[in-house]
Amino acid sequence: MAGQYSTDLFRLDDRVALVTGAASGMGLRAAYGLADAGAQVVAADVNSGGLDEAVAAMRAEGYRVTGAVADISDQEQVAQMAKTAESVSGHVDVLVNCAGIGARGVARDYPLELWRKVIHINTRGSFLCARAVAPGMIARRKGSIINIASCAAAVGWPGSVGYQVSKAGLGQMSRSLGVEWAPYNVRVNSIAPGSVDTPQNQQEEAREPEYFAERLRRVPMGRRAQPEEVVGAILFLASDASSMVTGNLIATDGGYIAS
Amino acid sequence: MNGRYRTLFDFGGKTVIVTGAASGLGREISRALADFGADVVIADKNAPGLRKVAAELEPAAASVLPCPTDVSVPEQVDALVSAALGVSGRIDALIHCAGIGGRSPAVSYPMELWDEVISVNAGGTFLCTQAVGRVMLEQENGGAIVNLSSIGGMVGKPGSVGYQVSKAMEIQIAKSLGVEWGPHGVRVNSIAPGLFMTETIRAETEKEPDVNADFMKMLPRGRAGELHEIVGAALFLASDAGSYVTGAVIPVDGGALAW
Repeated sequence: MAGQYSTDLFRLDDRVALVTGAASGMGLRAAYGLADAGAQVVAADVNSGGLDEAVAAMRAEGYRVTGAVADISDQEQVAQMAKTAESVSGHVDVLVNCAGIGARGVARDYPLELWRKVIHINTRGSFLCARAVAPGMIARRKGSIINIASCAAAVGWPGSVGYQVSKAGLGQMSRSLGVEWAPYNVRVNSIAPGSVDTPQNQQEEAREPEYFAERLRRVPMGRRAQPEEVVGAILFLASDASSMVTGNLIATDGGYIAS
Repeated sequence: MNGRYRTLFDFGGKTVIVTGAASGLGREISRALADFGADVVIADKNAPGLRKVAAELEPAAASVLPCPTDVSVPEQVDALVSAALGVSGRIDALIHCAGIGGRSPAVSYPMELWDEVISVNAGGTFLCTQAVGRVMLEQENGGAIVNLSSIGGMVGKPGSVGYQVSKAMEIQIAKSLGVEWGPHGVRVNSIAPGLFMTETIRAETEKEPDVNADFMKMLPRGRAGELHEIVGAALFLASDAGSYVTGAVIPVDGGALAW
């Protein structure tokens, strides 16, 4: 059986991949990665200006990509986004739930509005997206949903309880849906990035450099991840290379959870 | 130092709040706290049920204060904490058992049910933890918070995605705040019960006899838990016996997770 395996295992030719939060950071790198693997990418984001730029840049480089402006916390817009994705070639094979927000604040004063907002977007929004593409995947007995969670799906740290709770919910959603949709060959997994060098994180870090330096000291690999370092895990989970993997959490965190 | 361990699980002179105390695991834990000599403040949405439990506890407990409370309403949680402070001026422990179920297939999971189960279970846990935490952070010797989650927040089972997500959120609250409040002597932990024959589960099983049949087969002990079997873990985490335990989850599940 020599030669049975090649990098074809990770190819996504003829597949359609929908990526939320695709205008910047990890979502944008995911869009490039999926496109490089051969997928037709539908890039979604709430930031229409940023999305236009990202889509234009990808097209200029010869990638097949469709833009879809959508606020994932709005069920109507999510339905419209899924429709756009399905109109590309009649099926959505991969969903990468990358859209999300941060929400720092000490617990004793954590505003209830912030608590509700971060859960509404990060957890509920991702559920809406999963649910919008799942019926098609279930009908075709094929699909992979990848939720970008966080180390907070496994461990805790001070200063962002609502954010962490939202991501732990997302991690559990992957287990729960992974098990429930396993009979239909729809796989659901999550990725737990550690500290990633995204524009969103850079902004937060500029505001609280000491806090983030302390967090970084606890990363065994001693550095932040570059956004593209999450792409490998995404391609693994999106492709047939992971055909027996579901309900799982893969950490790309420089050893943070393990330590 | 002979005899120093005889008082490890003592609750004499301690004020403890138990939510969800009108039935099931909350009522059973309240009974135990009364037997152990605590000043017990019991809360539940079900006011008549709460009065019955109060009457039952009175002969054993140092004192019993029933406070009808909807844990998902901030004002009512604040009122509960004020009432508890009236007992002895401090709150030594909170054992949060209030919660609801939320069964439905994921594909058609009603968003109203999703919102309700997350607001009551995760939101209610946070509101109670935050309100009691504010008191404990200011008082001498901190305090202990124990939240009852579920092994359904750690592994996936088909048919209750919203419930399971809410329980994972509750577990993350323990991790996040266990770390954040650790330096201030406020411990936050979670107990993850498996299948216990509470009134809720009994009713569910009568409606859907198959729901728990598969699950029962996976239990190394071969049976559901009896209500009294939750008590030990709760008293351990809420008392000085658990003084170095925080941010932890203890499954009380008859071995289901280990299977």
